[in-house]
Amino acid sequence: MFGGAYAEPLAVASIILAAVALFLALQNRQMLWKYMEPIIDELTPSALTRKRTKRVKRYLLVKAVCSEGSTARQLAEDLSKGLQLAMGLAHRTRCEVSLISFRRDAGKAIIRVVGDGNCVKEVLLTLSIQHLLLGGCILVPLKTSGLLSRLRKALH
Amino acid sequence: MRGNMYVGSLTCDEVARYLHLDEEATVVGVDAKQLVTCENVEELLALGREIVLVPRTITSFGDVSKAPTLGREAVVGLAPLSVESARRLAKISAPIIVVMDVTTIRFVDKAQVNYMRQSPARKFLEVHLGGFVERIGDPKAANLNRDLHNLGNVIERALKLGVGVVVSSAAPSLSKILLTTHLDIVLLYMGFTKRERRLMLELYPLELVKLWINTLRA
Repeated sequence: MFGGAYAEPLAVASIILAAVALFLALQNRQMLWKYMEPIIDELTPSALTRKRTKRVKRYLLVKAVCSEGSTARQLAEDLSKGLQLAMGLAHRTRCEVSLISFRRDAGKAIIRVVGDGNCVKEVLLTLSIQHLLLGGCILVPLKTSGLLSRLRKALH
Repeated sequence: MRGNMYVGSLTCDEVARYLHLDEEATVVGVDAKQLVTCENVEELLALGREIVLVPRTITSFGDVSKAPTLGREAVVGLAPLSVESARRLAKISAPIIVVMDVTTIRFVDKAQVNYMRQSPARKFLEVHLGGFVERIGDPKAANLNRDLHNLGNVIERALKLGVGVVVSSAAPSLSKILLTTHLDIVLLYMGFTKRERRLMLELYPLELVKLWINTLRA
């Protein structure tokens, strides 16, 4: 049907059309990607498998062998210093450690640890090596419990 | 009831204070030279609980040393000075304790544990945890992570193959002592289960003492 005279412009026109279509498709794909990306990002396996960390609260009963005249404030300072030295500053964002009570006559103290599951392990390690790092009291972790009342019995 | 096979070269008074501090320690290894100078050993033992004091000596083992044994006056722990001496220790057909501390960890590796397993006599690994723990607080100490990783692997291998592993806090002074509870916690942090920790802290020390007493009788 189409003679030789029409063939050449048709071919040129189709090439141009194809190029425009390809360009549009690519541009569309980019726009599509722009909208899809955040959705895909949210649905990737990494997001699905990310653990929602549980906040665990634990109480530690500790035997504290200190030099004469050491106070609770001093012990708490030593504790935070040792934690910072052993675990670093970033550790404080994950775990919260506080000294609850300290009985100098009995040589015992109760420490509260709040944070994810690994916190207790890390704090226990810090407690047991802190006299090597700072040279203060020797702390011996005796008991771990989730209830403060149980440890209070052991303290008195 | 736990064992700390070598508390370090503490004097007699310091050992007494250590025994007061550590309420769970039953088998306690004391430096033999210090134990001889003790005047009142009975006082050490009269704490209202059963305590076994084991005389210990830690010596380094080179290539020219004479035939090593478990020892008669004291339980001898041998720290190899090179890979060759470590392998030689593994091949001798007598019960022997190989010391693993910060310096000898380079020679005592997984292959060493395999050789110790192949030996006909009972072999023990003695881990001096004090040096490793002290390096945690030393920012200049290099290769801490690598050494702890290797240490964990070697202990794991030894436990798997049934080679005895004994843990001790070889502390330079009383202020840097590690009690048995602390040893337990460090091992927990390294990832050992309750059963493995009980093996290392309770069962193998008793077995070692029993073996030593049997060799004395023979």
